[in-house]
Amino acid sequence: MPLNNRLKEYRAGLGINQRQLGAMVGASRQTVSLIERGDYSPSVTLALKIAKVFSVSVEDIFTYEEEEV
Amino acid sequence: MKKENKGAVKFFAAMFLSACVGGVFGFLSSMYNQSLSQLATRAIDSLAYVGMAGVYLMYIPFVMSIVLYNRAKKAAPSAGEDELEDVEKMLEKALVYSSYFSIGEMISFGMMCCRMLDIVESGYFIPFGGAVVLFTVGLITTVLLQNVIIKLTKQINPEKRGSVFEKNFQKDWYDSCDERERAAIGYAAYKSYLATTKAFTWVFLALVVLSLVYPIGPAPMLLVGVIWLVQSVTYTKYCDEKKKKN
Repeated sequence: MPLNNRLKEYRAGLGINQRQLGAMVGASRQTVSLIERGDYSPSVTLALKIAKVFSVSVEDIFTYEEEEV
Repeated sequence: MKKENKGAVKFFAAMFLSACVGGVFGFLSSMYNQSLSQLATRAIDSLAYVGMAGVYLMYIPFVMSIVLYNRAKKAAPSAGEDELEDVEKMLEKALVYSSYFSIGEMISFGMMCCRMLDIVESGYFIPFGGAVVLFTVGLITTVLLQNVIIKLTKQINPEKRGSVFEKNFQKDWYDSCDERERAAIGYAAYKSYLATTKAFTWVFLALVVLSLVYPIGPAPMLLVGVIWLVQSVTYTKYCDEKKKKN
């Protein structure tokens, strides 16, 4: 289930591109792009690495909203 | 449509198809006044000529692969972050088509070589010679093409490692993949396992039926069985291993 996220916003704030962010967290440019579009949910480890880059908590970047049944 | 009705439709469709196949062979058998065994021999012998044609026809995916690579190479230098995805898709397709080419070429060449002498003696020496040259040239150029595709992919994604000329290319490439790419590889491997298990079952059945009318010997069944066993054993072994450690 994809997560809502503000990754693009945080990345723009730091002035880095997708490839640079990917290199910092051990992910490919394509994976960063898919995360930003909400098409891929990162693992806990990757989410923590991303949050550490921006010095924020995971919940500041990613939000989980349960789908209504 | 309910699940039970779907199953019944599939069953009757399979029965109908089997009846049609049997009917066609029965009709051909009486038309040519030949037994099923003789018909099977003629059909199998003519596959060698199909193989020879296949060596030429397999160049279609090869050309498509080159076209896609050239398009990607042209677009890559000026591509922004959004366009790079399209470039990567073109390179992935180019690699897939080159794989279709090399596999198809090997199968076609193998089929042709089964009746090599018959083909040459029946006056097809020039097309046969051309097919041999095309096969040899094709296999060499495919490796070179795959090398430049991988090189361009590595330029776009500098974290990727491996060279097609090295023995450990598959392992090096996998090791340089991130979690998402590895998950995709795992999913694709599972789907491939499901598809090949079905294929092995049908191929085995087909070989058993064929052995009733044509002296194929035990080798094909042994070969299929060995590959099927290797697939099953490696799948269960690594599934078990992965369950125990992350």
